[in-house]
Amino acid sequence: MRSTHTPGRFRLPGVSLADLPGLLTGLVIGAPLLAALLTGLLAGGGEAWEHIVATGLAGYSAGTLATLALTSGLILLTAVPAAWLVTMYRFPGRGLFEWLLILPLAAPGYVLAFAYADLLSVAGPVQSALRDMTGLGARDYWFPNINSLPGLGFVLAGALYPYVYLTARAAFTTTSICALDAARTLGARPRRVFLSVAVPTARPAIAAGLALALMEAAADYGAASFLGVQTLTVGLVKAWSSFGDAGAAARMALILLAIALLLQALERIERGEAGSEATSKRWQVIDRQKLTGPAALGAFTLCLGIFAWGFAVPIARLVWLSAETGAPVASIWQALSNSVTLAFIAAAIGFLAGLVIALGVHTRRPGARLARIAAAGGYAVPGAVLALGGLIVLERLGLGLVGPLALGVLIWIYVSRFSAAGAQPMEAALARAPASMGQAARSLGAAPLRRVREVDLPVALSGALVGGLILFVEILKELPATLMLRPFNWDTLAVRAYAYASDERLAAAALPCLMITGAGLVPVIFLSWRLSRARPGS
Amino acid sequence: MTDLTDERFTGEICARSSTNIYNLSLLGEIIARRGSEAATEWAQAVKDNFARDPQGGDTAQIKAVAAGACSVAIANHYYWVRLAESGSEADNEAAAATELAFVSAGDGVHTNVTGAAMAANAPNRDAARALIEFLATPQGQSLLVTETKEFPVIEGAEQPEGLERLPEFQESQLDLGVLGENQTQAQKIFDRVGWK
Repeated sequence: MRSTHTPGRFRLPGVSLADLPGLLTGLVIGAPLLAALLTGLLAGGGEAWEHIVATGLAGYSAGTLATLALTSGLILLTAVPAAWLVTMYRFPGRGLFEWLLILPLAAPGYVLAFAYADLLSVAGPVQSALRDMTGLGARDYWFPNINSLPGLGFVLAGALYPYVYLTARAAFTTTSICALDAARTLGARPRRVFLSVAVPTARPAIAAGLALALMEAAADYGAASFLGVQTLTVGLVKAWSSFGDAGAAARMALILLAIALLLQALERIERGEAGSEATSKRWQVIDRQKLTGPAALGAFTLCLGIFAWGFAVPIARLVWLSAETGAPVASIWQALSNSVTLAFIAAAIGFLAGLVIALGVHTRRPGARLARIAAAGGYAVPGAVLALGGLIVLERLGLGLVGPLALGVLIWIYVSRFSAAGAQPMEAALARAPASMGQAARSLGAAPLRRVREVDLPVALSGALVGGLILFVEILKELPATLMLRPFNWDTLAVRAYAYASDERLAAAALPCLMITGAGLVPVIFLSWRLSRARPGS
Repeated sequence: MTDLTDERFTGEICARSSTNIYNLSLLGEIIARRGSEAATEWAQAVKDNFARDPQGGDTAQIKAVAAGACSVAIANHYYWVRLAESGSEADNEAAAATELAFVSAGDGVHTNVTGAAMAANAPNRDAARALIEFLATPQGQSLLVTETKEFPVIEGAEQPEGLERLPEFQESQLDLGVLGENQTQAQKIFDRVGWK
């Protein structure tokens, strides 16, 4: 810390003026969560809480943990090999799959849940066709139940795998070709190069992507409740909506936060133990090997299957439903404009917060570390909890949730909820950069601020596009906090979709669902286009 | 409703999750009419007759009966009417393959309502009152129920298309406020008997 010493008369030990941005960011981001948690600790423990402990808590916890385990298993088995194949090999459709595989990022988990619940239900097209073909009755055969925990894992993994696909692909793309060539020269077969060199090198990036995906999965309410799976988040909302007990709800948020911190810690450990510094500055164009015969067919099938699972099949079903029955379009354009406006403003603010966190953590500012914890907590807990916390803060200040203030609070909650998603890619970019860059600047005598401005900032900004776009899409998809906080004439697409789907008018919900997905596609395709040109030197 | 506890319905009933307000209100009425002990026994016996774990909404229950996954389901009338009136052929077939019956929960048919209320701190009280009063006119009622297929509550309001398909029934006269008061107890009973 000596090198970051700033002269000044009033200094707390280890804290300086340079900590102010981080501390302020942390306070803004952390306040809703803190308010909800304090409520949980101080006001919880009533009759409703005792009832939840007696009847459902173990089940909720097991449900969440099993969902996370299943989701991560499915994601790792699909996204990592797919990322490796499109990065390192040539096969039919590779260029298309490179960006097609990112598309599920545009569709929220609840949209996939609506579509798959309709497709795979006992009265849905798949089972109906099965019965027509075989002449069996509805109770004469076994069929996987989509309204189940494995069903939820299937849906969430389909929606969230791009987080890992993206980070793994970025890591494989920047993997030192020299290391891979060395392995090949030493006689390693392709499978061994993948498992023993590429995956271990990419582990920090894969862990970062998986941590993001799992926090999303743990915070999901829409898909889990729609599919009837008892998770902590579902139980939390139940504690709140059925029992009207914010304290009990906030207590369940404590458990979710503990899970989130655990995920964070695991990712940190991964990064600490397995992180590798790039040693070579010599970038080479990846010379993709051509796959032929069964290998090419296998790669093609895997990529097509993943794309169909996470995007093509559910979205095609929604298009069909929407076209078949027609859908009311009145007020949808207003909702679209509301969604884009809110997401743009909140993403811009969240991006700045993310930048403060990424740079601060990289330069080891305690204030920024605090902000990072606050952001990680916000990203991990359901939006409903933060909205609740925001309302508590508002009440303490003696303010009502009306007019422009309500929009301000909603944007505040978006920032509190999602700035971690903006910060993480920038942190990863800083972590991937050769440590020697900073060391060189230091030995050349650059002052701390100058090092941040001229070395760290440009490096962090290489991850900024990903961060900003993920922020925008995430906010566009957000549902529970928007439902709670929006002023009445500020319905977003997500609110319209939810209103129709919960009223069981799936055909009417299909259009706003498709619009959310469509709006999300624009930045996702742009992101994909940029990433395909991301390899320096190529 | 009491018949649903009968042994002949073992493995035949489809129902949605207990967190749903329709089930909470239904059990709330049974608690009010017959006491919490009888309500617990009812919930336990119905749960024991389930064909499958609670899943999906009212529409999914009706479609499950149509597909043959169960023979009885608990649902609100308007979901059935929407299927019958839908532009989708599969929906129409599901309605045609099922029969809607209004069954008594002890003293008349249990009903759900769509209500309106004004917040105590509403800044535009007169406008809010005017809106609620408009919703209670024949025109407001017609606008409200055309798509939802609910029953209008005003004499002389235009009936939405499809309601003519339904049988006559005698609705329960229970004070609806009681359902709200019993909601927490209903959720606890559902949790205790394992109705997910």
